[in-house]
Amino acid sequence: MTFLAPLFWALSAFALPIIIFYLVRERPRRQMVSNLIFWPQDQTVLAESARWRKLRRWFSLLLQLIFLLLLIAALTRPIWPWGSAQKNSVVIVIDASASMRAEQGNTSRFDAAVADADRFAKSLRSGEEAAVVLAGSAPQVLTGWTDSRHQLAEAFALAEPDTTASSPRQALVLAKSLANSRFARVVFFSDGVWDGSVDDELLEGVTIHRMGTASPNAGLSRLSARRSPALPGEVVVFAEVRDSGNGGSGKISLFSNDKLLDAREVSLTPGEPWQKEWILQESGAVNLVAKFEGYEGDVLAFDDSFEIAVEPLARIEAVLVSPPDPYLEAALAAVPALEVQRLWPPDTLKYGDASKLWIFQGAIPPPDFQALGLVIVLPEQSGFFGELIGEMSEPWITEVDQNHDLTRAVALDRVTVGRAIEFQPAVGAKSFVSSAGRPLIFGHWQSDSHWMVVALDPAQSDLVMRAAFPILVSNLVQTLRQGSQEFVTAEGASPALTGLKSNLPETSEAHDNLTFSSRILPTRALWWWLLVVALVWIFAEWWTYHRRITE
Amino acid sequence: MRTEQLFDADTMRSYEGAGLLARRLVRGRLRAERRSFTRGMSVEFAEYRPFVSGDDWRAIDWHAYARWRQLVLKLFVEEEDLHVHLLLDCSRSMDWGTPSKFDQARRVLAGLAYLALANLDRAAFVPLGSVSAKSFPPCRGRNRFPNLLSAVATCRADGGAVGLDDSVRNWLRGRPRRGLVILIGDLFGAGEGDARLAMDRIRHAGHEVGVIQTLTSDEIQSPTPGEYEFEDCETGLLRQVVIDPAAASRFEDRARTFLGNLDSHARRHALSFLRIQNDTPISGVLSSVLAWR
Repeated sequence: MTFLAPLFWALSAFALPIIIFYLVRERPRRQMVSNLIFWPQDQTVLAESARWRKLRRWFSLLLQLIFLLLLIAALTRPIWPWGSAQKNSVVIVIDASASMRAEQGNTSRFDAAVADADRFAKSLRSGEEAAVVLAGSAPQVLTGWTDSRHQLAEAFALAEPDTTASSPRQALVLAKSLANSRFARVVFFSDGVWDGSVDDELLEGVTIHRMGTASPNAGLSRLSARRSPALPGEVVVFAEVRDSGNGGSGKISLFSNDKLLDAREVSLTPGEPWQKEWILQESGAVNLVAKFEGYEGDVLAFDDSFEIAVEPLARIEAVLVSPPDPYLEAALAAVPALEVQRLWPPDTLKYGDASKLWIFQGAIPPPDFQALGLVIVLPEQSGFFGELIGEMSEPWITEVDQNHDLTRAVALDRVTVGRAIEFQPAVGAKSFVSSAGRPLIFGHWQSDSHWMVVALDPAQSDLVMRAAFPILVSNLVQTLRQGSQEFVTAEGASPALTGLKSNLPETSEAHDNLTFSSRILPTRALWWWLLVVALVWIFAEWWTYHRRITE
Repeated sequence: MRTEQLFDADTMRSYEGAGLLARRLVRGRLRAERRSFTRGMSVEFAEYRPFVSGDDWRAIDWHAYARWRQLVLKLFVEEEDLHVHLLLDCSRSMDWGTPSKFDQARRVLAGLAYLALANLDRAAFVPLGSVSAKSFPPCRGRNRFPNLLSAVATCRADGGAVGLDDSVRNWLRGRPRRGLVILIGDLFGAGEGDARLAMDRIRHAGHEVGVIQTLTSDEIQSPTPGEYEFEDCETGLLRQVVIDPAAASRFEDRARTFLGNLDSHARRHALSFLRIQNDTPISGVLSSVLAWR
């Protein structure tokens, strides 16, 4: 027979004081009294059955020693010869997806899961090892294999729930690979609300301890905003609200820089999201807060309020290298995101400025010219951008690349062009606007370099007068402003999260075969309390015996 | 103990004029302030009696002769002194408590003696069971009080293993004159019924009986549970006792029964009875005795 906790044999030292307590008897206290008439002879301690009393005394001592022995034997956790002495290691996986923030009672599912995992870890036998994996948007190993309960507790203290719905797939794969190295088992603490389903094969052999029950929830599934590509002074805000499919109503409020912009009742139709779009006129920084409240029975507060920030409209400095051209200057000055200055003659230009947009008209930039963006209007010669072929008279604009950020939403079909120069674009250049295959606006407008050639003559075209022009310039500016063309989005709740639909069956028996509430944890606690009770019992027994209370 | 500790001058003055009241007519020796069944010279009319030869003719009531045409004598109630026998239990059990029951009993006895002497009664002091002290015979007059007080002060609680009833019987053998007997002691005696026998014996001897029982609180309360070897301070007898809650309860039941029997016995036989603690103020005790009816 082996013992998993042989140190508890040290408790056998308690037998000594017990025996001593029984052997050492205090002499009766001698006390003078005024009379003995109230203490009749038949009440004296020296009764006739002294032999029986002695027997009872030694029997009581024997019982206490047996009790102590059993208690110590229980604490030392004996492994019987026919039992398995194999250590049982375990990988503890805690679901950290945002749905675990749902409140169940006075605590969140995540806190309850961490507490349960901590109790579970403490219930492991001496020498058994555990590893802890946090299943968030990216799996995180909180601690590797350890048999230190203290280290496990520290790992649990580090666990934090995620802010987005996530799938435990990667975490389970990681946990299983960890478990396979030691023939360990995997215990997964989760509410089953995952972003997407998990293969049954992956869940096979995993002990799932289910947290929480199906509960109603509604919240913002998306709050996003971006500056209008056409009008950068405008901010387009989009919000979407979903519920768990039960329907109901609530109230959504939108705040811009702490000022209430809109508040309206939201009636949710089962299965359909509620969506709304707002447009704000704001060129400065915008801090947007959307709050959804008033939904009865809502258990997840996390998705009821989102906050996003839209950066202020960043102006780009542009240098127009051109002879005086009032039309072009006025048209460029009308673009809000652009600060234009004109420079002429270009003789002093040599290296340029990589933080500015340079627009050349009637001139060609020198070689190795540095620019944030380079626009060459109607170059009269060949250059790095292409080879001059000839002129075009009154070409029709037939093709516009609507997929490119530069020319998206730019309607040029009604723009008339009196004169244009035909070029053979350089290798790598792309045609954005063309006339029957002949490029009118072309260039290389990618993240690595931005240059563009406008081969049509603005003086003989109404492009500057058309609405397409500011859109084209705005697109140009937006593409130069790194990242600002993208939506600022707070994607708090995927449909799975908002619905709090568990991927696990409702019947907990199906997966929750951990049963640590009835087998593992109370066992430890019961032993501990048994020890306390035994100590109290032993001392109480000694005290009562010593004072002859029970005789 | 010094006599001043027994009865100081202030206490003496506060009880000037107060007197013990005997509920029955008793026979005394000298004319005093006490009614007697002896007819004599006083102002209180008792009855008429026919004149016979040898009677003092000056006692003839001539007004009655004028009314009835028969010679009759007018008799008056003779006022005599009361014999107050103060019996003090001198058993060793009285030397118990702080202050001791014996000292308390002596103070009470001194007070009662003063009350009797100040009231022109006769007071006697009888140390029951004492091996060293002697009885102080009945005396009269306030000037005898210091002598009586000295006798009480020199008395010790040194009684032997003689029961209370035996001590009383020994005293009654001397045929003390009938009067008011006040027995002061803890009444534990040789057993639970010893004190009642002693009281009956005094009562049957024709005395009016008053009893003052002195106790300490620890005598009727059980010690804390445990194993004890009790030693009787009177007899030196040792007894090993195991006290558990049940034994403590039985002890207190017995004590209550003992005290209750004394109370009911006193009520049944119209005995004046007073129970005091060893720390009860003397003035309160004497006031209670004066209130006896």
